Amino acid sequence: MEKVLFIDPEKCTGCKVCEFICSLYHENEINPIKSRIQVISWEREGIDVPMVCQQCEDPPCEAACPTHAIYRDPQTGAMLIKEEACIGCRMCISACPFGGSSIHPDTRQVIKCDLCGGEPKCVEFCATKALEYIPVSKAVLLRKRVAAQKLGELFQTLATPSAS
Amino acid sequence: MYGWGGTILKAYLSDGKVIKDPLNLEFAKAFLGGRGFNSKIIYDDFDPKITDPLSPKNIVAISPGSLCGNTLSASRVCVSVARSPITGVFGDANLGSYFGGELKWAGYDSIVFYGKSQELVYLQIEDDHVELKDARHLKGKLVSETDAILKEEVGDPDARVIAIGPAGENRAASAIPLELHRAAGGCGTGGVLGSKNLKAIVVRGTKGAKIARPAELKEAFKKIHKRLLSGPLYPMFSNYGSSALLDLFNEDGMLPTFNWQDREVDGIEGVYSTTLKDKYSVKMVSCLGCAVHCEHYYAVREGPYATRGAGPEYEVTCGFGPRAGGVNLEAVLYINTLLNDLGLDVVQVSNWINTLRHWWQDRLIDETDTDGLILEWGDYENTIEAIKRMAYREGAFGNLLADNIFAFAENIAKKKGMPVEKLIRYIIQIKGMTQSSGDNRLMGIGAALSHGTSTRGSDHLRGVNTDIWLQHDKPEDIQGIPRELAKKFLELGLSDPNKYEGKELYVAFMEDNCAVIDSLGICKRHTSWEGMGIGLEEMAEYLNAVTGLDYTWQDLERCGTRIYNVERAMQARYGLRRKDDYPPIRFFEEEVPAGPMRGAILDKKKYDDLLARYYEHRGWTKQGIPTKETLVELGLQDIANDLRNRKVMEVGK
Repeated sequence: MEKVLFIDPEKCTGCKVCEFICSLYHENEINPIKSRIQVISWEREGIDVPMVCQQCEDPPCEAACPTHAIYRDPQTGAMLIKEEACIGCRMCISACPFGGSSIHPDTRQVIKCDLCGGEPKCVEFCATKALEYIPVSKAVLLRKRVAAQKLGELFQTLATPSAS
Repeated sequence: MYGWGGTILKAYLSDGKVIKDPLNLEFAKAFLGGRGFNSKIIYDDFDPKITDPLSPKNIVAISPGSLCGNTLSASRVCVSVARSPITGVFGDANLGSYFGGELKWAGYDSIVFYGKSQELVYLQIEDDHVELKDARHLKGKLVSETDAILKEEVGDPDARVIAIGPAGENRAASAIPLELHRAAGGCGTGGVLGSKNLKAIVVRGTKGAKIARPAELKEAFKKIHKRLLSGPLYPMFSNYGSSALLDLFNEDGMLPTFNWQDREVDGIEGVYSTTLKDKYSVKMVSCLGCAVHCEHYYAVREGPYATRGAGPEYEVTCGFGPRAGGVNLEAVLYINTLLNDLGLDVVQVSNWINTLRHWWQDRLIDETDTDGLILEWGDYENTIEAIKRMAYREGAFGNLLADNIFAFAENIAKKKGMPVEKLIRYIIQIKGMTQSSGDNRLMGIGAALSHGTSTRGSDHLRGVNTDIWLQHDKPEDIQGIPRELAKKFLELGLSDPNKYEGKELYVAFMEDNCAVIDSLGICKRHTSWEGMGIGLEEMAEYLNAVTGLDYTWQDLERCGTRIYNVERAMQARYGLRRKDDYPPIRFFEEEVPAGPMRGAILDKKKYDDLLARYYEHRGWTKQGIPTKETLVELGLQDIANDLRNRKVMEVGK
């Protein structure tokens, strides 16, 4: 069954281990700006959100690409870039509503998450499971479960008379 | 050059100039980075005849560990000063950070500040671009305000900022620099930065870290990172943070209360980490590259103590909780945010104010000495007011307390015609640094010795924080210590925390181990220091994969010994001697009064003997000064010559 990279920002601690691991595996160095995933943080507010390509069903990057360099890997479902076809025009970056692709600072070509060929290394190293690689059906229910738990807790608080 | 950035920045503030010096590889290999770099640079560049910590001739060095930005678990930056306003001698402090990695990615291993700027400035670093900039508009700004303004000003929300708050600008002795809520606690380095008119450093680095042996680093990450996450203490630290120690210590009768007078306080559950987790924790947050994420992002949503922030360490919940005779967690969290914003050191400030309470209790001071503040046990309103007056040097009371607790004691003694020693014995301190919330009578004899001999004053972070890490039957169960050493420690019977004999070996090893940890920038909470899995072997694996060098764990240990000896020689040069290596006098004279550990006390004679054995094991004189032979053997001929030229051995014989 096809899996998806599932993100739960509430579990993200902002440690950026995913950025270390991603750049090490893709670039043999450690450099967040060469990582395919980035954690965007508002430290004073305690907000951390990992941002990465969503491998959309109807990808605007694919539609925007004038040389048809972007295609879907039939095995993993990841949107990949044919490097020889990419002209570096960055239209895909403009089209993406998530900031899912970025520019390699040395080669100036577009880089994006390739799901590590089906074994995303960032997931392997994420200590809090803010990143998970799970079957689509499970992902759908997991989202509902997280939301339902909050509702459940709220109902419980409302139903229980305060002790103090 | 792999691992290191390759450049040291030297900022001459009086001239408004910053110079780039290439990093010497032999120096880097011998002193590693972070604390090791700072200690040697300061030893070499500072004239010890300068005695005033606020003199423009004082030196501040700020260096990330050599593993910052290129391995996991390494986030720490070391801030060192030639003269600390707290101890009067060499001092340093570490902060877990994002700054360290960012500075490395910009290509720098160290920033050294000399002189004094005419006006308030900040240092901006953006890869190769380095510039001192006007900071007059930041005067009086809180640490969090400074962080926000500077990120806006340099136009980069991903820039990282280390700043001082109003307390540092006002040269309060207990002032420290912070990266938002990540504090460089201890030794009062913030006031020194303030005296130099340096408000902040803002850095952005995009060059990244090249790795010499990437395949090896991947394997090391898989192995060491996983071991860290499966460690026995990982669930506690990752869910509750260090504040969990408060619950544990209370249950074991080890919690100091009422300025170390007692073991109990009513309603203690109010400041338990479980209360924190249930009522105020929003989520856990971490430093760069850290999977332990031991800080809470907390929120007190309403009431007089409404606040938000990150932390709190056990030092805050204990220092403003049981040690202050109080149990109001909302007020404690409010104080945590306040101290971070003003740029003040939690351990020093809590100890100083709790000492005032203790004097108050024994009627040694009253409202006439505190400008009307009533400093009773469990009070929070007056405490918050006292903190603000200290940071802003308001009134005679605030001004004296900002100078430091010893100046306060001297003033009271003079005013009331009593010997100052009578007041000073209340202060739980070594070499002038007040103690974190671990009791030297209870945490094991190794921990007591390690606090005593620490090269920066009373410190649980310098070597052994507690001997219980050795309380195992089998060497393989001891986390983060090379197997053959663990075996030796157990054969010597060192698993008994209360044993004096042989502890000199454990303490010397852990001091050197910690010097390595601080120089590589690894978080101590990931290491053998805290019963966790990263030790010298694992650090060598990381360092070798990153740099392409081939350190054995014994090589690293030797680097630690070298760094420790530099610091020890530096303190000897300032005049510190054997008498300065003793735990607080009260721990030799007052028994633990209650609880399961009742009656515990340090034995003076046994401590004397242990200290003598420790000096001998270290290759130091009977006064605790590194001998010429010891220094030369470590490759420190220059320091041996310096001690001889200055006739250091002859002073205080």
